[in-house]
Amino acid sequence: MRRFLALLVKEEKALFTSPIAYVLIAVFLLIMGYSFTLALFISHSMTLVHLFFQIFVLFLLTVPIITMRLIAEERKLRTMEVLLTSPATETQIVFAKFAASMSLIVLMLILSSAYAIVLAIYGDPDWGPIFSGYLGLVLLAAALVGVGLLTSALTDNQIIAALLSLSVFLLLWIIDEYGYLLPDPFDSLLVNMSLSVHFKPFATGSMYLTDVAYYLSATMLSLFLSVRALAWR
Amino acid sequence: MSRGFSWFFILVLAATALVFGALGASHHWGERGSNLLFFGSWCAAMLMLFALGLQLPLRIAGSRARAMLYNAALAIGAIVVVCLANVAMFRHDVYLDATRKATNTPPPQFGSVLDGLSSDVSLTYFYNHSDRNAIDAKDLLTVAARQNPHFHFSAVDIDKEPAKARAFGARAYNTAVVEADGRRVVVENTADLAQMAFATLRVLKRKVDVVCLITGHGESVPEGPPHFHYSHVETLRGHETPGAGDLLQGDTDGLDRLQLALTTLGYTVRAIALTSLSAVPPDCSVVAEIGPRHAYAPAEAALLSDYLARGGRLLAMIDPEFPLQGGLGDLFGTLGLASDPATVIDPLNHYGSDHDKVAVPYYPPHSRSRADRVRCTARGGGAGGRGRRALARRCRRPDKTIPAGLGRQQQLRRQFLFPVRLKRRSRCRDGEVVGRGRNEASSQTAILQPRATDHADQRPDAHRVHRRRGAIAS
Repeated sequence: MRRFLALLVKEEKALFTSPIAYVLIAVFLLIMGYSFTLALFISHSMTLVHLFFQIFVLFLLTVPIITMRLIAEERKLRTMEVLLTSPATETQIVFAKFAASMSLIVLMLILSSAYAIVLAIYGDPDWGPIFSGYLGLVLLAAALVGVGLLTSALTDNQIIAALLSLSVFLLLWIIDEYGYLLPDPFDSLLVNMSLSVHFKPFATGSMYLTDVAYYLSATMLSLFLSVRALAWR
Repeated sequence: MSRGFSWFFILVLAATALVFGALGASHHWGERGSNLLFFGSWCAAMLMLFALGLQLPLRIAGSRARAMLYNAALAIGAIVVVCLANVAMFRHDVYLDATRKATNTPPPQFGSVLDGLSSDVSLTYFYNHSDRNAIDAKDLLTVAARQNPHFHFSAVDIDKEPAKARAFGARAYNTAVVEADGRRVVVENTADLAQMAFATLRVLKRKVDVVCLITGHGESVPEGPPHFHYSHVETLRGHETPGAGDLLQGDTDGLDRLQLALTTLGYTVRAIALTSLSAVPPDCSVVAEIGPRHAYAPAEAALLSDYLARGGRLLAMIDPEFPLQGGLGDLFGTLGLASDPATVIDPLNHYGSDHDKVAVPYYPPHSRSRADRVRCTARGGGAGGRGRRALARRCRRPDKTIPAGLGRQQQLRRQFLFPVRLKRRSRCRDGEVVGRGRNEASSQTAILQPRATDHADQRPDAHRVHRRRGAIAS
């Protein structure tokens, strides 16, 4: 556990000493603030549903930027050999990078909770959908970071890693749109692979345990494959 | 983390998965509780497999091709396990509506129809993607389909897939096509789940039930098909609420709306004249006598009596001011039924400013048919209109006792929207308020219902009015 914590501190330092984290947070809050204000003035409804869908799309675009450097950069700078020769195992390395990336995303979500607080000050929002929306976002982010970590482990080039993960995210975002082209039961299979199909119920205050299971299993699968990819290369 | 601790952790997870799985399989917790336990078991099992997978050797001895094959096999195996785990979870799904007012849960009447399904029903909804109400209906139907294995739902954007719409015969936006056992019911231009529930009931009917309306005694049974039309009015609920401004217009005294409601539920309505028949037709599932104005001949009553003796069903809605004499009175007398001059007052739903004109806007969950109604019988009110003033001193309710007193009288008047006169010598018997008066034989019955705000949601804008003031059913 001490090795894992040491690796986590190293990753957190690497993340928060670079300008990427701050630029990402600033851009994220700027876009969210604009969306929140616009949605509030137009719809006059005390809901964050629109915001959750915006964050969903923003995560698809920003998570590859966060994860692209995690392993690919270590390889490019040839620091991976140092890491792998240390007493830390591949599993600990992958978990530490995953936890560090998640901490940045959780920080972004915590800062975005200011909008919920504004709603609470000036009204009486329905907290159920707000909590379920944030739960969905955390689960979604975990799955995205896992997949991003996997693509970063598969290549030495950060740009390729980012493009690869972005392609996977975009494909999984729109895959349900083409479900009707396939015969039964492949259409259901395709639709159930979609990130948005599993996220939408969370945003609107509906929670299915299958959706929770989908994100949890996707996260575990991607972390497992990341460990294997790191060891193989 | 030491290797020994890892294996201990895996063993704990395996034990947890087994315990939760066994508890879930025991079915002592209901379906929902069992599925929650299965989810706990699923989580523990997945974590165990994940931990086991991480324990596998990262590198194997041999050539690079062999190592690649090994890693590829592991990756494919992991993907297959994850797919199977998701399918298993899908079979034991649990739905949690996190909203305060359960807005994401389908309406109870739709849920009750789906709960009663014993065979497969499929609903294809050809929705308009720019119609907010249609999208809400689609979302609720998706929720319903995920909760009920017999209900199969598919949503089709009619603009994206016009060929599919043509194949189903859908010509308009928001068309619901309900299919079961080769039968098909089409409901056009609807975002109302109640209409879809009625369509589901209709498609499940293997035999069409016939409701025979008796004519020939001045009943308001129309000769031809029911006449009504839909109109639209502006309401405070705006255009966001489905059907908020839809108004069904028709003859206020006729039975057009009743016929429409019965047809919506899948019944066939037919008029019969007893004078021209030798027996009530055997295909009549129910015979309805609604609002006779003239007395029955003994032969007509005999036909009804024979029909009831054969196990037939009769619905009689008699105006309280219509004297039950002659053949019909004798028939009811033999059945042990009597018609009291009574007025049913519904403070929520009435037509215009006439409180004695009951408007029944929405049939299945109407508040008056609820079990928690307050039924007050006042005796000794005298004849005629005086009896309308119910005598009520105390009316026992599960949670409330209404006391006597002048201030309370005024409060009750405001609450029940019709004159309530309290007498100190009234008493409460078996949940009914009984007032002592001079004439015990003459009784008045009124159903009192508070002006409860929780019923306001059921108030429709389409008023369907039936001028019936008394009802007897056998």
